[in-house]
Amino acid sequence: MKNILKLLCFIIIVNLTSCSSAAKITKFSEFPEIYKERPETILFIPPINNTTAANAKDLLRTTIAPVLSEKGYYVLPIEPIFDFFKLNGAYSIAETSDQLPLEKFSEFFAADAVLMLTINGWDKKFYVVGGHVRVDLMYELISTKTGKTLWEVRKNVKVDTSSSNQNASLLVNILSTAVNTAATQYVDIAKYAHVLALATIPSGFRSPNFMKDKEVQIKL
Amino acid sequence: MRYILFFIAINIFVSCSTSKNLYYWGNYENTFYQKVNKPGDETSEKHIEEIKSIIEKANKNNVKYKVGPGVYAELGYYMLAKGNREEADNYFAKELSLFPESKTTIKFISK
Repeated sequence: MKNILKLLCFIIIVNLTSCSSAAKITKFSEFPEIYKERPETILFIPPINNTTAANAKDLLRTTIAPVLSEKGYYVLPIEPIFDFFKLNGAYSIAETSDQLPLEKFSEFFAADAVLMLTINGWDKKFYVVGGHVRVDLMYELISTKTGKTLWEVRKNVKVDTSSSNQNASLLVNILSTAVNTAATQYVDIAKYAHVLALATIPSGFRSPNFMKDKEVQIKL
Repeated sequence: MRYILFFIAINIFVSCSTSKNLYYWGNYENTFYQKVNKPGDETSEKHIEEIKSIIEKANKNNVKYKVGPGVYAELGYYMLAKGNREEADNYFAKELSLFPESKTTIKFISK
């Protein structure tokens, strides 16, 4: 009987501690503006690529919509908008202009906020057996109404690409992909980076957690 | 004793789990990346097929998952590029009914 009580205590403690983190930073304390503005529609503009990895931009832009939508936001359709940017010679708009035309984004697409992604690192290392990819990304969500930063994060992700590795199998589990060709593996890495980075963004209006995650503690 | 251990395991597992997915995305990212990476009829058609299959599956178990933001809009956009105006408008209307906040963008794309 005593043992059972001890076990019950253990269960309660484990339950209390299992979701808490050491830091006392919450989504609200870090990003109060987004709770005030409550953006609904997000325009993902062509990323800034500071690396020599030519396909990093494509990998990251083809994987963002599902991850960001799951957070409860309306992500403006990526392909039509990227075509529009290309046709108008604005594919490098984030790289070349000091000031984004936020008013135009609001007028043309009714975008409440713009998500800007900067790729600072996309390094592949190969060993005799396996290898890894190190990804360094910066995300910034900017209000088209006020120009204020509503949410931002810098994420460093290192993914081992050797299939026998624990991280890799974890990755495969999370994304539940069976195919393991090189291309799909990089798609998975891009998606994995988005999932990790977007962990700190407050939930959008279509999420059941909308306005309920203020006290959720985050690690920056 | 065994039951208690089982109970602990379940508790740890459940206490940190997040809510279920909002939308069904199938193999969207892979076919989309292939289309962008190797532009051509073959990869484009595969991506269109995948989007159609996503819509079909999401509508089958629509209690669990729904068609995600931009999926109908993207399909409509591809149909418009092929000259299928009627089909395209159909998809744009679907997008609009699921996500009214897409109104301005749909107007822009469907021109």
